[in-house]
Amino acid sequence: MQYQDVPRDDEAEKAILSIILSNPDRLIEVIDLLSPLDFWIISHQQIWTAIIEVFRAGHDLDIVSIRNQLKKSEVDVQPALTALSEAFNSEALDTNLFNFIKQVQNKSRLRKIIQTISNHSTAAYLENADASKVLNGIEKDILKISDTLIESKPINAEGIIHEVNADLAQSQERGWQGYQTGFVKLDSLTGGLIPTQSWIIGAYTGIGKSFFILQILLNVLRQGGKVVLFSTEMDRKINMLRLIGNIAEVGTINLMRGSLTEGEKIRVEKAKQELSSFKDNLIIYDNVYDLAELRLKSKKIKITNGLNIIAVDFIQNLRGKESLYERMSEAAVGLQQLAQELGVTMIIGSQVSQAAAGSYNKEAIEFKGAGEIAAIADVALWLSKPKNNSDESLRQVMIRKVRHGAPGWFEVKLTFPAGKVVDMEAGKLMYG
Amino acid sequence: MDNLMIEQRFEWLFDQWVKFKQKAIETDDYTMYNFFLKQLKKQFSQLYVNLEGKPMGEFVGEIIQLASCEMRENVIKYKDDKIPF
Repeated sequence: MQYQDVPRDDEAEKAILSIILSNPDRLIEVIDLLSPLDFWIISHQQIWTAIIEVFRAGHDLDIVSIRNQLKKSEVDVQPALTALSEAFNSEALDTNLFNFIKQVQNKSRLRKIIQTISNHSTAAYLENADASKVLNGIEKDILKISDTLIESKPINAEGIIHEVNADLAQSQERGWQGYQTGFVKLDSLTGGLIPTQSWIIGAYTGIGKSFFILQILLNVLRQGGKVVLFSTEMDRKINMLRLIGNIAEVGTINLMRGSLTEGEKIRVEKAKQELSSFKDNLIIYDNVYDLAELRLKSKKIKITNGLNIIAVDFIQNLRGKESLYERMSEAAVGLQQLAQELGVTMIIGSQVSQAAAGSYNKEAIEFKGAGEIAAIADVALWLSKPKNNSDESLRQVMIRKVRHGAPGWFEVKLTFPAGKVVDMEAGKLMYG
Repeated sequence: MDNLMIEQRFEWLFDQWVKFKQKAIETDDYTMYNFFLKQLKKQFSQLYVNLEGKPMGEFVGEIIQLASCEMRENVIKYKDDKIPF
């Protein structure tokens, strides 16, 4: 194996500069792919910085404008100009531009990896070093580097149509683009849990929002989907007990007490086996309240294991800025962006405002905290007890918003004490 | 190289420049003209580096900037002319 001092590719760096200077119109294709620090040679960093500034200012890109920009930046112009002259001698073919960029990016990432490991190994040598803190630090920094490996999505029409065709082919093969919630009416009106979309499930306290979310997650797991639940209210073991109870049709309290009949014990064992079989397809966090940490953990799971659904129950418990409004705005937008970035469906449980809790007004979508919660939703559901109905187990699910479809409603039964949510298929379209 | 030779070389260069541009306008084909401008920029850029700080360097810089400007105009003109509707 051959070693070198520092990962670098001087010839590729020169080639990039040479091609861009000879073909300035190609800069627009590559400007987002390389930052100045991706170049190893300092003069090349200075030149690339100057090229970006000239481009942003809308000036013609040539050696004169670059030189003028270098002078403005108060760098020593001569070494940079000499480097430019050498770049001109490179005679690189412009058809190889993206290959040269990949080479430079690769060396840049290798340098970042070396730097990260070096920084953290220094920390590990300290007398009071904490291994878990060092590991967390390494994990964070390595994930930041691997972030840059996520392929950028196409932005031109051809690229986007290619993506759409791939999704349509998948839909035709499976019948669905994403995963089904398992509720017939809901799936038919929304198209199911489509990747990059955000779902908001709102309900007043005690209505059964968490049970409803768990039911959807269980249905997804049974279709082979991969889910992560960030439970900001309940312990992960309680969530697991609820899932066991759902499958075995046994109440959580009875499970915790151990007061089960023989039949229930058998069903509970089968439920545990089924849940164990999901292995890494089901991950539950009960100690994540910070959006940044939630992002980090989600990205890690996506990269290492794959991920289809992120569920957050519930959003109001996420910490951040002092005011509820600012906290919820930031959280709502952040979760929506995460769904789009990772190509997953985001399911967000939300409390509703006191005023809207008892409202059947189709216009009143008031999730507690900020209007952004409703605004970012591709699908907004509202769980409530039906009016004038003596059946305590019945719940009405109002599909208040569907960005790409029609609203509606349907009924479910929240079975006690197991917490299983049963589709009553009693809904009908509200309009038309 | 004496001043006369430099002057003659520049005169020849500008003659070529005018000929390429005239041809492009007449034939409505800017391919060769753009190629000429690209090569001119490349060669003059190396000269510009060597003349950094000297009065002649400024003159060479102006030629490069003129070539850049021409190339930009050609893109606009060429694209506009080729739009069929």
